[in-house]
Amino acid sequence: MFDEKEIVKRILKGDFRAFELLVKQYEKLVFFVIHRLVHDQHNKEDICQDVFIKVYQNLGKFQFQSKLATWIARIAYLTAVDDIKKSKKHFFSEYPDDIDRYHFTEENPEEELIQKDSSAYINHVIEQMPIQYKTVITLYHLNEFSCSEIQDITGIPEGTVKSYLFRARKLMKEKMENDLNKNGYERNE
Amino acid sequence: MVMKEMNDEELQHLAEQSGLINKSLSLKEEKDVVAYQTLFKKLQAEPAEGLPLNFAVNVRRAIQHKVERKSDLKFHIILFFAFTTILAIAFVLLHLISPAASEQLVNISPKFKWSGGVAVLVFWSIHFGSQRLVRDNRY
Repeated sequence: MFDEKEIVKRILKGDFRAFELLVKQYEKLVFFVIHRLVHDQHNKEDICQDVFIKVYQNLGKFQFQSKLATWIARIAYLTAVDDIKKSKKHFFSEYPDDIDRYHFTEENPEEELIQKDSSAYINHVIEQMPIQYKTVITLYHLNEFSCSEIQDITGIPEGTVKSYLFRARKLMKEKMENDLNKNGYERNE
Repeated sequence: MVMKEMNDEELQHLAEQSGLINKSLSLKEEKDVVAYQTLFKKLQAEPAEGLPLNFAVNVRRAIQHKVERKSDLKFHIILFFAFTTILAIAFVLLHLISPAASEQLVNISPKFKWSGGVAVLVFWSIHFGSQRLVRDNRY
Protein backbone atom coordinates (compact mmCIF):
# COMPACT_ATOMS: atom_id res chain seq x y z
CA MET A 1 0.00 0.00 0.00
CA PHE A 2 1.17 3.54 -0.75
CA ASP A 3 1.90 5.24 2.58
CA GLU A 4 2.33 8.91 1.67
CA LYS A 5 3.85 9.94 5.04
CA GLU A 6 6.47 7.20 4.83
CA ILE A 7 7.28 8.02 1.19
CA VAL A 8 7.65 11.76 1.94
CA LYS A 9 9.90 10.96 4.91
CA ARG A 10 12.12 8.79 2.71
CA ILE A 11 12.28 11.42 -0.04
CA LEU A 12 13.27 14.14 2.42
CA LYS A 13 16.09 11.86 3.60
CA GLY A 14 17.38 11.80 -0.01
CA ASP A 15 15.90 8.50 -1.23
CA PHE A 16 15.44 8.98 -4.99
CA ARG A 17 13.77 5.56 -5.44
CA ALA A 18 11.03 6.73 -3.07
CA PHE A 19 10.52 9.76 -5.29
CA GLU A 20 10.23 7.47 -8.31
CA LEU A 21 7.42 5.63 -6.47
CA LEU A 22 5.68 8.95 -5.78
CA VAL A 23 5.91 9.90 -9.46
CA LYS A 24 4.47 6.50 -10.48
CA GLN A 25 1.61 6.98 -8.01
CA TYR A 26 0.62 10.46 -9.18
CA GLU A 27 1.72 10.62 -12.84
CA LYS A 28 -1.81 9.94 -14.09
CA LEU A 29 -3.30 12.65 -11.89
CA VAL A 30 -0.78 15.21 -13.16
CA PHE A 31 -1.13 14.11 -16.77
CA PHE A 32 -4.93 14.39 -16.70
CA VAL A 33 -4.75 17.99 -15.48
CA ILE A 34 -2.03 19.00 -17.94
CA HIS A 35 -3.61 17.11 -20.83
CA ARG A 36 -6.96 18.84 -20.43
CA LEU A 37 -5.72 22.35 -19.66
CA VAL A 38 -2.61 22.77 -21.81
CA HIS A 39 -3.05 23.06 -25.55
CA ASP A 40 0.51 22.42 -26.67
CA GLN A 41 0.39 18.74 -27.54
CA HIS A 42 4.17 18.27 -27.79
CA ASN A 43 5.03 19.95 -24.54
CA LYS A 44 2.89 17.93 -22.16
CA GLU A 45 5.57 15.48 -21.01
CA ASP A 46 7.97 18.35 -20.25
CA ILE A 47 5.30 20.21 -18.28
CA CYS A 48 4.49 17.06 -16.29
CA GLN A 49 8.21 16.74 -15.52
CA ASP A 50 8.29 20.40 -14.40
CA VAL A 51 5.38 19.68 -12.06
CA PHE A 52 7.27 16.82 -10.38
CA ILE A 53 10.44 18.91 -10.12
CA LYS A 54 8.38 21.55 -8.27
CA VAL A 55 6.89 18.80 -6.08
CA TYR A 56 10.41 17.63 -5.18
CA GLN A 57 11.67 21.14 -4.49
CA ASN A 58 8.71 22.05 -2.25
CA LEU A 59 8.10 18.74 -0.53
CA GLY A 60 9.79 19.99 2.64
CA LYS A 61 7.05 22.64 2.96
CA PHE A 62 4.23 20.09 2.73
CA GLN A 63 2.65 19.84 6.19
CA PHE A 64 0.03 17.10 5.54
CA GLN A 65 -2.78 19.60 6.09
CA SER A 66 -4.39 18.16 2.95
CA LYS A 67 -4.02 14.93 1.00
CA LEU A 68 -0.76 14.70 -0.95
CA ALA A 69 -2.84 14.20 -4.11
CA THR A 70 -4.63 17.53 -3.55
CA TRP A 71 -1.33 19.34 -3.00
CA ILE A 72 0.22 17.80 -6.15
CA ALA A 73 -2.93 18.61 -8.16
CA ARG A 74 -2.64 22.26 -7.02
CA ILE A 75 0.96 22.40 -8.29
CA ALA A 76 -0.15 20.82 -11.58
CA TYR A 77 -3.04 23.29 -11.92
CA LEU A 78 -0.85 26.34 -11.20
CA THR A 79 1.82 25.07 -13.61
CA ALA A 80 -0.79 24.61 -16.33
CA VAL A 81 -2.18 28.12 -15.74
CA ASP A 82 1.36 29.55 -15.91
CA ASP A 83 1.97 27.75 -19.18
CA ILE A 84 -1.27 29.05 -20.65
CA LYS A 85 -0.32 32.59 -19.59
CA LYS A 86 3.11 32.19 -21.16
CA SER A 87 1.78 30.88 -24.44
CA LYS A 88 -0.82 33.72 -24.39
CA LYS A 89 -3.07 31.43 -26.37
CA HIS A 90 -6.47 30.30 -25.14
CA PHE A 91 -6.06 32.41 -22.03
CA PHE A 92 -8.90 33.66 -19.85
CA SER A 93 -9.26 36.95 -21.72
CA GLU A 94 -10.13 35.03 -24.85
CA TYR A 95 -13.37 33.94 -23.22
CA PRO A 96 -16.31 36.12 -22.26
CA ASP A 97 -16.00 37.88 -18.90
CA ASP A 98 -19.26 36.39 -17.78
CA ILE A 99 -18.64 32.73 -18.39
CA ASP A 100 -22.15 31.87 -17.23
CA ARG A 101 -23.24 33.14 -20.62
CA TYR A 102 -20.75 30.98 -22.49
CA HIS A 103 -22.10 28.97 -25.41
CA PHE A 104 -20.43 26.70 -27.92
CA THR A 105 -19.80 28.16 -31.34
CA GLU A 106 -21.14 26.74 -34.58
CA GLU A 107 -19.32 23.72 -35.94
CA ASN A 108 -17.09 23.37 -38.94
CA PRO A 109 -16.54 20.26 -41.14
CA GLU A 110 -13.49 19.27 -39.07
CA GLU A 111 -15.64 19.04 -35.94
CA GLU A 112 -18.09 16.77 -37.69
CA LEU A 113 -15.26 14.34 -38.41
CA ILE A 114 -14.17 14.36 -34.76
CA GLN A 115 -17.70 13.45 -33.67
CA LYS A 116 -17.23 10.00 -35.16
CA ASP A 117 -14.69 9.12 -32.43
CA SER A 118 -16.47 9.31 -29.10
CA SER A 119 -13.37 9.90 -26.93
CA ALA A 120 -11.86 12.46 -29.31
CA TYR A 121 -15.26 14.13 -29.53
CA ILE A 122 -15.55 14.57 -25.75
CA ASN A 123 -11.98 15.91 -25.59
CA HIS A 124 -12.74 18.29 -28.44
CA VAL A 125 -15.87 19.60 -26.71
CA ILE A 126 -13.98 20.08 -23.41
CA GLU A 127 -11.15 21.84 -25.26
CA GLN A 128 -13.54 24.51 -26.48
CA MET A 129 -14.79 25.41 -23.01
CA PRO A 130 -13.43 28.17 -20.74
CA ILE A 131 -10.55 27.06 -18.53
CA GLN A 132 -12.66 27.26 -15.36
CA TYR A 133 -15.15 24.75 -16.77
CA LYS A 134 -12.40 22.50 -18.10
CA THR A 135 -10.69 22.53 -14.71
CA VAL A 136 -13.72 21.58 -12.62
CA ILE A 137 -14.89 18.95 -15.12
CA THR A 138 -11.43 17.33 -15.16
CA LEU A 139 -10.79 17.47 -11.44
CA TYR A 140 -14.28 16.23 -10.54
CA HIS A 141 -14.90 13.52 -13.12
CA LEU A 142 -11.45 12.36 -14.21
CA ASN A 143 -9.42 12.90 -11.04
CA GLU A 144 -12.40 12.23 -8.77
CA PHE A 145 -11.83 15.14 -6.38
CA SER A 146 -14.72 16.50 -4.30
CA CYS A 147 -15.95 20.10 -4.74
CA SER A 148 -14.25 21.11 -1.48
CA GLU A 149 -10.94 19.59 -2.67
CA ILE A 150 -11.33 21.45 -5.98
CA GLN A 151 -11.63 24.65 -3.92
CA ASP A 152 -8.30 23.80 -2.22
CA ILE A 153 -6.67 23.05 -5.56
CA THR A 154 -7.87 26.02 -7.58
CA GLY A 155 -8.81 28.62 -4.98
CA ILE A 156 -12.28 28.90 -6.56
CA PRO A 157 -14.98 29.02 -3.82
CA GLU A 158 -16.88 25.74 -3.40
CA GLY A 159 -20.21 27.32 -4.38
CA THR A 160 -18.70 28.61 -7.61
CA VAL A 161 -17.12 25.20 -8.29
CA LYS A 162 -20.57 23.61 -8.01
CA SER A 163 -22.07 26.25 -10.26
CA TYR A 164 -19.31 25.81 -12.92
CA LEU A 165 -19.73 22.05 -12.74
CA PHE A 166 -23.48 22.26 -13.20
CA ARG A 167 -23.25 24.72 -16.08
CA ALA A 168 -20.41 22.90 -17.87
CA ARG A 169 -22.27 19.59 -17.72
CA LYS A 170 -25.51 21.18 -18.91
CA LEU A 171 -23.71 22.82 -21.84
CA MET A 172 -21.97 19.57 -22.78
CA LYS A 173 -25.19 17.54 -22.60
CA GLU A 174 -26.98 20.07 -24.82
CA LYS A 175 -24.08 20.11 -27.27
CA MET A 176 -24.01 16.30 -27.43
CA GLU A 177 -27.76 16.15 -27.98
CA ASN A 178 -27.59 18.81 -30.70
CA ASP A 179 -24.76 17.04 -32.48
CA LEU A 180 -26.46 13.66 -32.23
CA ASN A 181 -29.73 15.04 -33.55
CA LYS A 182 -27.94 16.84 -36.35
CA ASN A 183 -25.99 13.74 -37.41
CA GLY A 184 -29.13 11.57 -37.17
CA TYR A 185 -31.00 14.08 -39.29
CA GLU A 186 -28.25 14.14 -41.91
CA ARG A 187 -28.05 10.35 -42.02
CA ASN A 188 -31.81 10.08 -42.51
CA GLU A 189 -31.82 12.57 -45.34
CA MET B 1 -52.47 16.50 -10.03
CA VAL B 2 -49.69 17.57 -12.45
CA MET B 3 -46.23 16.72 -11.19
CA LYS B 4 -43.63 19.49 -11.27
CA GLU B 5 -40.93 18.79 -13.85
CA MET B 6 -37.40 18.33 -12.49
CA ASN B 7 -34.86 21.00 -13.27
CA ASP B 8 -31.37 20.33 -14.66
CA GLU B 9 -29.74 20.50 -11.24
CA GLU B 10 -32.02 17.78 -9.91
CA LEU B 11 -31.53 15.72 -13.06
CA GLN B 12 -27.74 15.93 -12.72
CA HIS B 13 -27.97 14.97 -9.06
CA LEU B 14 -30.16 12.01 -9.94
CA ALA B 15 -27.82 10.93 -12.74
CA GLU B 16 -24.92 10.88 -10.29
CA GLN B 17 -26.62 8.31 -8.06
CA SER B 18 -25.47 4.86 -9.10
CA GLY B 19 -28.02 2.17 -9.86
CA LEU B 20 -31.51 2.56 -11.21
CA ILE B 21 -33.62 5.50 -10.13
CA ASN B 22 -36.61 4.72 -7.92
CA LYS B 23 -38.37 7.97 -8.69
CA SER B 24 -41.16 7.98 -11.24
CA LEU B 25 -39.95 10.09 -14.14
CA SER B 26 -41.53 11.42 -17.27
CA LEU B 27 -40.15 10.19 -20.57
CA LYS B 28 -38.27 13.43 -21.12
CA GLU B 29 -36.78 13.36 -17.62
CA GLU B 30 -35.71 9.76 -18.06
CA LYS B 31 -34.09 10.63 -21.39
CA ASP B 32 -32.26 13.55 -19.76
CA VAL B 33 -31.02 11.44 -16.86
CA VAL B 34 -29.72 8.78 -19.26
CA ALA B 35 -28.04 11.51 -21.35
CA TYR B 36 -26.32 12.85 -18.23
CA GLN B 37 -25.26 9.36 -17.16
CA THR B 38 -23.76 8.75 -20.61
CA LEU B 39 -21.94 12.06 -20.42
CA PHE B 40 -20.55 11.32 -16.94
CA LYS B 41 -19.32 7.92 -18.10
CA LYS B 42 -17.53 9.57 -21.02
CA LEU B 43 -16.04 12.23 -18.78
CA GLN B 44 -14.62 9.55 -16.51
CA ALA B 45 -12.91 7.74 -19.39
CA GLU B 46 -9.13 8.17 -19.32
CA PRO B 47 -7.53 9.86 -22.35
CA ALA B 48 -6.25 7.49 -25.01
CA GLU B 49 -2.74 8.91 -24.90
CA GLY B 50 -0.58 9.08 -21.80
CA LEU B 51 2.93 9.49 -20.48
CA PRO B 52 5.68 7.07 -21.58
CA LEU B 53 6.16 3.98 -19.42
CA ASN B 54 9.58 5.12 -18.24
CA PHE B 55 8.35 8.60 -17.26
CA ALA B 56 8.90 8.05 -13.51
CA VAL B 57 12.45 6.75 -14.12
CA ASN B 58 13.24 9.75 -16.35
CA VAL B 59 11.95 12.23 -13.76
CA ARG B 60 13.93 10.52 -10.99
CA ARG B 61 17.10 10.64 -13.11
CA ALA B 62 16.59 14.32 -14.00
CA ILE B 63 16.10 15.29 -10.36
CA GLN B 64 18.96 13.10 -9.11
CA HIS B 65 21.24 14.66 -11.72
CA LYS B 66 20.14 18.18 -10.72
CA VAL B 67 20.61 17.54 -7.00
CA GLU B 68 24.03 15.94 -7.48
CA ARG B 69 25.19 18.77 -9.73
CA LYS B 70 24.13 21.30 -7.13
CA SER B 71 25.91 19.45 -4.34
CA ASP B 72 29.03 19.02 -6.54
CA LEU B 73 29.09 22.76 -7.20
CA LYS B 74 28.77 23.47 -3.48
CA PHE B 75 31.58 21.02 -2.76
CA HIS B 76 33.90 22.62 -5.34
CA ILE B 77 33.22 26.13 -4.07
CA ILE B 78 34.00 25.02 -0.50
CA LEU B 79 37.12 23.20 -1.73
CA PHE B 80 38.32 26.28 -3.59
CA PHE B 81 37.88 28.54 -0.56
CA ALA B 82 39.51 25.96 1.76
CA PHE B 83 42.49 25.65 -0.58
CA THR B 84 42.89 29.43 -0.87
CA THR B 85 42.56 29.88 2.89
CA ILE B 86 45.19 27.20 3.59
CA LEU B 87 47.58 28.86 1.12
CA ALA B 88 47.01 32.27 2.74
CA ILE B 89 47.52 30.88 6.27
CA ALA B 90 50.69 29.06 5.14
CA PHE B 91 52.03 32.25 3.62
CA VAL B 92 51.26 34.30 6.75
CA LEU B 93 52.96 31.66 8.93
CA LEU B 94 55.99 31.62 6.65
CA HIS B 95 56.11 35.41 6.83
CA LEU B 96 55.99 35.31 10.64
CA ILE B 97 58.69 32.62 10.91
CA SER B 98 60.99 33.90 8.18
CA PRO B 99 60.15 37.20 6.47
CA ALA B 100 63.09 36.75 4.07
CA ALA B 101 61.79 33.38 2.86
CA SER B 102 58.32 34.77 2.26
CA GLU B 103 59.81 37.67 0.30
CA GLN B 104 61.84 35.20 -1.75
CA LEU B 105 58.65 33.21 -2.45
CA VAL B 106 56.87 36.33 -3.67
CA ASN B 107 59.78 37.09 -5.97
CA ILE B 108 60.05 33.64 -7.56
CA SER B 109 56.31 32.83 -7.83
CA PRO B 110 55.73 34.86 -11.07
CA LYS B 111 58.27 32.60 -12.81
CA PHE B 112 56.08 29.54 -12.12
CA LYS B 113 52.71 31.14 -12.80
CA TRP B 114 52.12 29.18 -16.05
CA SER B 115 53.24 25.80 -14.77
CA GLY B 116 51.24 26.38 -11.56
CA GLY B 117 48.14 27.32 -13.55
CA VAL B 118 48.49 24.29 -15.84
CA ALA B 119 48.90 21.98 -12.81
CA VAL B 120 45.69 23.31 -11.22
CA LEU B 121 43.84 22.99 -14.56
CA VAL B 122 45.01 19.39 -15.10
CA PHE B 123 44.00 18.48 -11.53
CA TRP B 124 40.48 19.88 -11.95
CA SER B 125 40.05 18.32 -15.41
CA ILE B 126 40.94 14.86 -14.10
CA HIS B 127 38.69 15.39 -11.12
CA PHE B 128 35.69 16.48 -13.24
CA GLY B 129 36.29 13.73 -15.80
CA SER B 130 36.38 11.00 -13.18
CA GLN B 131 33.21 12.34 -11.51
CA ARG B 132 31.31 12.39 -14.78
CA LEU B 133 32.48 8.85 -15.59
CA VAL B 134 31.24 7.57 -12.23
CA ARG B 135 27.86 9.31 -12.69
CA ASP B 136 27.37 8.07 -16.26
CA ASN B 137 28.07 4.49 -15.22
CA ARG B 138 25.63 4.79 -12.31
CA TYR B 139 22.67 5.82 -14.53
